[in-house]
Amino acid sequence: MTEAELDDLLKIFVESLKRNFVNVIFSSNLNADPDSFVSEALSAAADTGIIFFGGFDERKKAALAEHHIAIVRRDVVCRDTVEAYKLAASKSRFIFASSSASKTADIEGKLIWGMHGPRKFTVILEVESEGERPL
Amino acid sequence: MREKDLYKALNNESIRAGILRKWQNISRAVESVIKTYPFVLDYAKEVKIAKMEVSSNYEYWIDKAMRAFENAANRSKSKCYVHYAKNEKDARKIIGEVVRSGKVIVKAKSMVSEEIGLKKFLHELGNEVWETDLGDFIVQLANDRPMHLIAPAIHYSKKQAARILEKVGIRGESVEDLAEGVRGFMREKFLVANVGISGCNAFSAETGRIFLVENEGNIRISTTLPEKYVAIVSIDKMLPSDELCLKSVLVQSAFAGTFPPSYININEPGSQEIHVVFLDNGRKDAPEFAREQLACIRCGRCQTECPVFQMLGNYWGSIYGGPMGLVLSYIITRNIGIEVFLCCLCGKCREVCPMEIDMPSIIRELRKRWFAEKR
Repeated sequence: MTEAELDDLLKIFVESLKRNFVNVIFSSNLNADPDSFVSEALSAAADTGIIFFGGFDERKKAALAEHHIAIVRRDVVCRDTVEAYKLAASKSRFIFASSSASKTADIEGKLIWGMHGPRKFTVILEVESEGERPL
Repeated sequence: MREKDLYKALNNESIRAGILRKWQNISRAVESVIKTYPFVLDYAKEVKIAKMEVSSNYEYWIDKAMRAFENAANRSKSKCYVHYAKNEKDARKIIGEVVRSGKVIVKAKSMVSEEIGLKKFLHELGNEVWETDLGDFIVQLANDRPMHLIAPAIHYSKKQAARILEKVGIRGESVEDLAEGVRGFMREKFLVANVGISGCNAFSAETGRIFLVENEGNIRISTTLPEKYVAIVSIDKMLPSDELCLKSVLVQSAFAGTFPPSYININEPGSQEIHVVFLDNGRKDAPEFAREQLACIRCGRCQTECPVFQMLGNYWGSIYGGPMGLVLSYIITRNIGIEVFLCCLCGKCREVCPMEIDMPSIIRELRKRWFAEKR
């Protein structure tokens, strides 16, 4: 994939994340350690904003965290969800995916965030240089 | 289905109000999802072809799926077991022997567990059983039945839900307060639970992986936290590959109007004791004229769009109500009830079904057979 193609893909990914009501932070330094459960994505789908993670303990922590922060490196963003699944499955035996904070609409169809899982889901997306915004 | 239940449903304004509210929201939502993510229609076609192929030779695929799970268990050297239940009685017996008594059990939303009457059975064995999905939890406390495949408490207003939740000390006036109360209540149960139980949205005969899709996060917690996990897999959930399983759960959530799903859980042998219970219950020998129903992915769209279901809810049918429920209940029980004549054959179910299942034709055939049996 060329740099220009990758930039286009990141734009689509960010659009998908915004559609999913996900807070996105752009960072060129992924060593930051925010005070929440942080996990690195195995892969991410540009078309849907679905992000794949790996590991059984990671899944447990991601399930119980109040705030799940996903670090997404630019080179793991794939065109679609099937491609992202395959990339994740090539890296880990235990795979799980998230696309937003937990939610429900079980009472009168009213959307409530933070039902049983994380109340917040934030993506830190790697960019090449500080100040770059793929959207 | 009992006649008095139908009158009960007709006189219950909140059933109509709830389903019509859902109908309006979901129709718009699905339309918008298909416009934004048109590829789900192609996925639906692929999944339909695969499901029909699997249903034409269940013996082969059951064997393949069971071996795939066993191989994954052997590779992980974990305590994982695969069981086969011919009917609901077998399934209850197997799960009863796995769970035994005196346990705290957290259940993920599962219609197949309703099909086999699992909750009551486990409760009678001396276990504490909790439905963890918000809607199912309300239905459990109300001692009621799920009113819709994916929106079980669709027939309760906020006020009614608040009154029901008071039974376990959860109080609040707003939906936010009620949800927060349930979150706190359920966290305590999750942390002490010995066993987690789920159904299965798709099972990969390629790798033995169990695919579960959701938004609340209760399935992820229920199937990860407890040391012991039981997955009930009705054989119509098997698909030949992980890719098709993924596509199937994406189509299911798209046609449920909540896309993308907040969570996709892909469970496989590893750190827990896992029991997979394959359930036949009439599916393997389904009559040819009704076999297409086994491609159903349980999105609930045919229920919400059906004008009769909008009046009667899940009182029209047995465990699974509405158009898909009429046919699936026949496959499971081989009984044809008078309820097949309530269908108005408008064809809306077929029109909105992502699997394009011709439910009106199957229901017409059921009517013919009802007459032949009664003659």
